[in-house]
Amino acid sequence: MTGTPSPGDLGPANADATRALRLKEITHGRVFGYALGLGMLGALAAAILAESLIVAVAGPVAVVVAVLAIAFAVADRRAAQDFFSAFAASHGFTYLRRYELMTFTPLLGAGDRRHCDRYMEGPLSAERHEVRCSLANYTFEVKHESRDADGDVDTTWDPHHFTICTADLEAGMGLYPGVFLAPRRGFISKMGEGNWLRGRNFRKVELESSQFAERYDLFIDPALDELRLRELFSPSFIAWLSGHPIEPCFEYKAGMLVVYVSGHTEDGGHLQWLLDASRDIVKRFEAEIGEESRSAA
Amino acid sequence: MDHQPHFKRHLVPADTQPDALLGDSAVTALYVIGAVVSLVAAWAIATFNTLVRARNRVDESWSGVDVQLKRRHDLVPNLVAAVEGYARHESGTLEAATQARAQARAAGAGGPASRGAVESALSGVLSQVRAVAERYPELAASNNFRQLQLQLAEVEDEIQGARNIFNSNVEFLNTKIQSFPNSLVAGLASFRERDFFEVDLPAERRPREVSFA
Repeated sequence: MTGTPSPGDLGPANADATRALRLKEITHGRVFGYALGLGMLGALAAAILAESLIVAVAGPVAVVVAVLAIAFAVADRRAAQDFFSAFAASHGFTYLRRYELMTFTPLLGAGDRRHCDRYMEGPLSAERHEVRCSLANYTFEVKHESRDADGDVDTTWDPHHFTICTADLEAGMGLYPGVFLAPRRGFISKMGEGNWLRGRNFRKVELESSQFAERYDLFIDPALDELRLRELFSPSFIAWLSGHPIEPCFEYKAGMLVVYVSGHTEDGGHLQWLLDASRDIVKRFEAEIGEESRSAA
Repeated sequence: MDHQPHFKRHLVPADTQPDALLGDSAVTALYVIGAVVSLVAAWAIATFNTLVRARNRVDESWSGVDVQLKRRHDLVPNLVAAVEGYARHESGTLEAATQARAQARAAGAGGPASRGAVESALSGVLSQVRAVAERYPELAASNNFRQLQLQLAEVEDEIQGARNIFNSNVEFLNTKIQSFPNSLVAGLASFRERDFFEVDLPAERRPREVSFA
């Protein structure tokens, strides 16, 4: 996996696919040998200085384990890099390792700090280059502060992971002030800090499908006309969402559509699914926006 | 009974208080029975509400099916008129389409089973109309006909979606009614199982392309 991936090249199937190969490369490299040799010498020197048989035996073992663990971590990171850069290239995306998005929608503004890893940006589909999208592993973190016995503040961060695909849909900004399709939550989860929609002034809408209701909670901005929402959620759209294997959720606000699934996705199949789902949701919005503008004309 | 609050001593004489009359175990049994009855009542109310919600969803989704079927009925006269202009001597097929539409409209107040049969018949006739159109290249190429074809395909996709929603709602309701112990509440409150809506749609025979636009 040393060559630069090109469009059309499928590349590794997931972020682990080239890990073994990368690990082999690292363990056969000079740096690994030097690290192991120097570590052994250090361990032996420590054993002589300490005049300890235990250090003489355990020291080299600890060095081997530590160097292998570091090599594994590096191989894992490189394999992920191989996969994501190949996926980005095959879809005509540019790839950045880390990025921060503007907080247009509630999810993008959730928690106390947030960032995107494996950020890819490019055309939503090969046929339509004018609609740009970005695909990324997104994390928002909630801050917890506690005081220990000495009164020192101990800060921990509770991360919440998602894979998101965003697209600009400015044309619908006036028609849809806010549509938020979230995964259905139980009572405890609803109260939890991971529920970024909690405490907002949104209205819950019930649609006619039991299957849909078992899977999703739908909220809207109070300024949105419910009739317009029901036109957007046409029967075929509801049926499609209710049966989709990755259960895509989305938020639309301020002209930004964010389609997301829970967790960081690290395989090509699921990323492609998310991309396809985003494309279909964009199409649905565009069809309704087009319909509205035709009626207005 | 020394620990009884002062006001209670005034209300109930010591020798007629529940503990004294029934004994400790009887009081405990009463509490247990009370708790069980409350739990059963809460469960029955929750089950009843779930069944009502499920039934309302079935009715609501049936209205959705009805709206989409009516949209299809409205397209038929335009389609027939478009074909008639090019293929006058195919009047048999066109008359059959008009008749099938009239029957479908007449069955508007019927239930899913009866409407499924007439709507399937209409689908069959519409497929014949499409087949007729293919024999007339000028017709098939006309803008008006192509537009109508697209609209019809779109409506049939929506009928398919609405039918899926309706049938899954019916399945949900029927399963709730049939499964024990929900069936006890369903029986007492006279909830009835509903029929599925079966209809043949040309949309299902087309090569599948994800499109709900």
